Amino acid sequence: MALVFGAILLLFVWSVLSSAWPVIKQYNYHLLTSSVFSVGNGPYGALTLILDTLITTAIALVFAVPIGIGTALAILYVIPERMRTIVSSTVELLAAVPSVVYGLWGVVVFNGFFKNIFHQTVGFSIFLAGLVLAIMILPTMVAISRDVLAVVPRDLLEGAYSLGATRSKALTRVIVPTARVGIFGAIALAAGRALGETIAVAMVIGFNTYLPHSLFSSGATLASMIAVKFGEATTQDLSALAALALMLMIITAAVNAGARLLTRKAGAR
Amino acid sequence: MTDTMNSLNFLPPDPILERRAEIQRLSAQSLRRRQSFSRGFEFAMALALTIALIPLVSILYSLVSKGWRYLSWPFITVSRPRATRVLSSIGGIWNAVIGTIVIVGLAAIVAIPVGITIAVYLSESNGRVANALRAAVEIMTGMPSILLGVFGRRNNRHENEPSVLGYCRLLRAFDFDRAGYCEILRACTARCAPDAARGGSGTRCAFLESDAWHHFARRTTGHHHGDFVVVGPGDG
Repeated sequence: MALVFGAILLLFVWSVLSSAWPVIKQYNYHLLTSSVFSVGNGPYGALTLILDTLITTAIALVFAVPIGIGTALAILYVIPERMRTIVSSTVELLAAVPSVVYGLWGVVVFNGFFKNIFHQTVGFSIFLAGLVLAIMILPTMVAISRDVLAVVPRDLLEGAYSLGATRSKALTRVIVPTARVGIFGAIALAAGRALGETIAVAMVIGFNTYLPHSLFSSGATLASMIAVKFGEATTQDLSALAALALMLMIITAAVNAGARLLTRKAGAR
Repeated sequence: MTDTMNSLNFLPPDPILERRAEIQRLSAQSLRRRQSFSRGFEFAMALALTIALIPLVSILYSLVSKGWRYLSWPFITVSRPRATRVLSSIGGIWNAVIGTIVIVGLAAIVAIPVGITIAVYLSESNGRVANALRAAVEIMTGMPSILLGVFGRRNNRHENEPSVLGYCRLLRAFDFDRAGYCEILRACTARCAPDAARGGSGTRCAFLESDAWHHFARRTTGHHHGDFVVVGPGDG
């Protein structure tokens, strides 16, 4: 059964690669360096899409990582024990919300908020997409960080207290560094989800394939481009979209591999 | 007594006592500073928790406030949309409910047994194949669902021609499954029972021996049966 599963994975990679091959062969490295992506027989350049994907993911991580770790620490060490289960279940409830609901919420609530605060004509932007992504990956960050922080031996915390450390020092100098390997894993999983998120991002990013001039300009990510244009794609467009899928796969795999490397290094220390 | 105290005041100051007093003064200052920093840190953690809860409350409020008036029994049980532009009579969502149940059910039927079996294999094997598969699972866990969509659509692009699978619920469920396998595999391999729970001697049981297999199946899956129920994400 394991071999069948492995074969399915290989078939999956081969399938995407063979679909993308005609456009890769035709456009070569221009596929990565050109910023014009025009559905309807080309030209196809994915630079803008790659940049927007990385920027939205970075924004999401900037917000979600500190808030996620802070929330996990608050659940374990700040709030009273009887409230722990309720609060952590409530935060994890966010993970059960389908991404299309986040998109809808971003359009209804965040978009209006942005229009009022930043006086933007249209609130849809890369920054808004990053914020929605941050909220989407927050439960992943909280749940995994909480799990890895919870397994740090209590003795370490008590040892730090006995040496005169305050709670903040004990948490930041003892508990978090001990759990850093697991926290790296949480960040990697969260980044993976942010990179590939489709519907919510497509709803709030504004869909613009030109190079972004600021965080508040509209854009398009690799995943949102695939989702939005798949229905109207010609045969060549399908090949170009498969090439985008391949790039997304490579970026996600690179993030995962990087995280594994970091985790291994941190674990060896 | 007063005379004795007066005579003590004329004694030269004790450097040890002075030093101790100075240390106490400095440490009291430092403690106050550290304690206020610690309180600030705890406040920041509580703030992070509040920030994490705000979206949930806001999402629930938005959904309930905008959606509750359209919720009715016919809305859930009627399946065919009527040809009208009035929002309150757009028909029901019964077909969508059935579609969701069928897709998730098919995905679960395939993914849960296969996922658990492979997870057991991965947790018990350290060979080359197992390592390669483990790495593939790790990578696939982070793969966006849109890639699976591209794969599913690519294998079904001639929609107007007769197709073996067709663009049907089975195909969608199958695609959904591959995401499901990875979640289940990750959850199961990460949480399989520790060695001690498998026998008491702490030695790993031989996976392929039938007795050991029964032993493993009982101990390991029994130990973490709750974790094996992994609910797939509500993919948008």
